[in-house]
Amino acid sequence: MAPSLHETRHDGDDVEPQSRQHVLRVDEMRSQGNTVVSMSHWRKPDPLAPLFETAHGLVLLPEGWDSYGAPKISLFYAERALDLVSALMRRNLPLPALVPTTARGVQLEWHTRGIDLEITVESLSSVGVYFEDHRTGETYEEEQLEPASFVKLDQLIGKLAARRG
Amino acid sequence: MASKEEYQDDPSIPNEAELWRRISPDQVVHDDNLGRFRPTSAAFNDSSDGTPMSVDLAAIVVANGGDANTTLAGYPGCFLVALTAEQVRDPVKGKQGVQREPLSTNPAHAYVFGKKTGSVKGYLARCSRWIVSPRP
Repeated sequence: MAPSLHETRHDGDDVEPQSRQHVLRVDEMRSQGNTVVSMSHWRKPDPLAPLFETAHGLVLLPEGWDSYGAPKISLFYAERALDLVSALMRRNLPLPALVPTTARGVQLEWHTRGIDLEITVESLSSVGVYFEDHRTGETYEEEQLEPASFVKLDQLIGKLAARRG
Repeated sequence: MASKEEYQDDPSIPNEAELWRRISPDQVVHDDNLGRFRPTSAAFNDSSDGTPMSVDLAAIVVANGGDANTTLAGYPGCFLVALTAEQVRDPVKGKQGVQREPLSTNPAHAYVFGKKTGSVKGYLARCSRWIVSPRP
């Protein structure tokens, strides 16, 4: 059986231990019928702190943030994406961009070293993956990659990390 | 709302027609492979209400006396990109259709319909051209 993402082994001390154990504590304050989500208690481990900052901003985007009526970004999908990147990051892998999607989710993106890699989190049970290597012509695309197959995701990340500019 | 089967590519929209789409500041990424900022592929998806991706037909905007600022009006901070109908219709990379869908508030409104896989969205993102860019 393929390992789950959290069981995937990496080579060495690629990410500080606390990065894998980041804590997201959500304080919900109900005021006048609205739910106010505070993510001020996020621990911000270096080197992933910029992603946490970005995620914080994304979940605070108002409804209609894209000018076409997109709903608010799900806190849970943002957290899922941070869990993923915490587990996948390794030495020599640049931080991805983190962008919102119109389906309440977020997308992690790398566009470097001749490779495009995008991981879309719009569900808690699977992720979308798009990989294209412009140098070799290799492509991989899966709309719903389930955790049991995350070894494939780790392989794609490994290709990006191993690639030199 | 029309069902997916009811959307039909409109041959009266020429291949050279420009399709304008607003881009939120949160949807801009730097593509090292291209050496420039561009919209994320996530900006080229269908709407969350199930309708296809909205665009404005530039020719209709201009024919009504408008310009890029007309499409951006009411959306401060947004940028604007253009795709051509030919690009979205590309039978290999795009595989989309374009249908007019005028609104009472926006006669230039149209839909770009078709399945938007990761590769299709990535193609649309990479071939889009800035009309109003984050780095003028």
